[in-house]
Amino acid sequence: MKIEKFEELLDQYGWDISSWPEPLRHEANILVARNDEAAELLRSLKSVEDFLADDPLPMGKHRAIDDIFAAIEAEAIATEPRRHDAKSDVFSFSDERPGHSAEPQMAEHGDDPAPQRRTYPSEKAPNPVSGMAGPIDPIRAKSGIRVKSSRALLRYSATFASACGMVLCVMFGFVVGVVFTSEQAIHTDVQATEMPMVQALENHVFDEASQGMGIGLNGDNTQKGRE
Amino acid sequence: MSVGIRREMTSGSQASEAARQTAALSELADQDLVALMVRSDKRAYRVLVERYYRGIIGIARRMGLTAGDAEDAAQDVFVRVWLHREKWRPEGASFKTWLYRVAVNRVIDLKRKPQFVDGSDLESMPDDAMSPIEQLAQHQEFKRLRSAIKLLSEQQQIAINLFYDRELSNQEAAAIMGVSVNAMESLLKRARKRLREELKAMG
Repeated sequence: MKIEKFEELLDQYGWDISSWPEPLRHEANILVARNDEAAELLRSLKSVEDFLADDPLPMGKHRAIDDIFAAIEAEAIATEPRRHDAKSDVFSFSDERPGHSAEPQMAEHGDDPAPQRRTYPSEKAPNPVSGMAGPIDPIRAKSGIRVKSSRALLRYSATFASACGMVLCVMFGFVVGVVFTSEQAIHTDVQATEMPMVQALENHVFDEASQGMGIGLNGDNTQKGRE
Repeated sequence: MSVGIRREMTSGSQASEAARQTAALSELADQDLVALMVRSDKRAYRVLVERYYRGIIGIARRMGLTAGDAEDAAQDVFVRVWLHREKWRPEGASFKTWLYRVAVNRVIDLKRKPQFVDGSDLESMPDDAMSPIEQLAQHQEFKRLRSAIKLLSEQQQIAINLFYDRELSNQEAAAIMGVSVNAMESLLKRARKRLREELKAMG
């Protein structure tokens, strides 16, 4: 095994040769035994891997868990009267948080000294984080559904009322139009029956006037006709 | 028997009953506890929180949060998981994978905020068994390593931090990242190579 291959295997399988596949482990151990560069490389990277795997968590977690459940209780109380944002996401968080105190404070039960931390319940937050679909708080969902239902009902009622009004207006206009048209028709009929009589009267008046002047509308009123 | 003594005996028996129930809950597997959690059983959820609190804090610290910010992030995660417990789908990922994924996303969100202060340069965990000189050397090495990790891509950093978390297996780390095990190993390979080159350049 060459040093370049050894480096590639270090990157692929990690820097702990004991976790490598058996055939490669044997060759690597031989190389490390014979090659100073490989040995130094392995030593330095092994210490890095030990650092990475080191558990950084201090002890004394139980008080923090009590804080979590206190925050859950506070959140449950705080969210009950509020309306629900139906689009809230399990990954949504609020970041309007108080800053940490700069003074370190000795923790109880042998904890490492840590800055004073204020715990608080999370408010609903603006931006979802990529991930799975968001769940909805059932208490908020029920009140939200009621609000949405009443708004929808109001909207539909308004639409129905306006539609009825339009229909009534159309019907009224139709009735008025029919009545008006009917009256016009009667008037026209009356005029139609009166016209011949009016014309006859006018003709008679004209004829009598024209007879006096010797002018007639028809041949019968000519001198010859009269004769 | 006096009322006070009778009251003490009643509260004592109640406490022992509660302790017995908590012990029984601690024996349950995750899926059973989650089923109880969905039915709003806070004692079952507390067992889950105690089971995974350390791991969530660990991943938050490893990804660069200070101790205070890591505790805040863990609190945010566990409160949010409780508030959205009805949306849990047992046919999906395991609860552990889901929880870690929420936590990783939360830490990523915090780190992207402009006011974020990287705690990886500020804190290290000195070994009290070491001499002050050794502790100083360890601290220097820790800073050097963290500086090199920060040069990796975000995905590579997450892969490194999850892989070296003792609470997680390779498969779980890959599931948290939403990638296959092969893809995870490919990410790790590139991350280790880059780390090795950076550490070599730092001397």
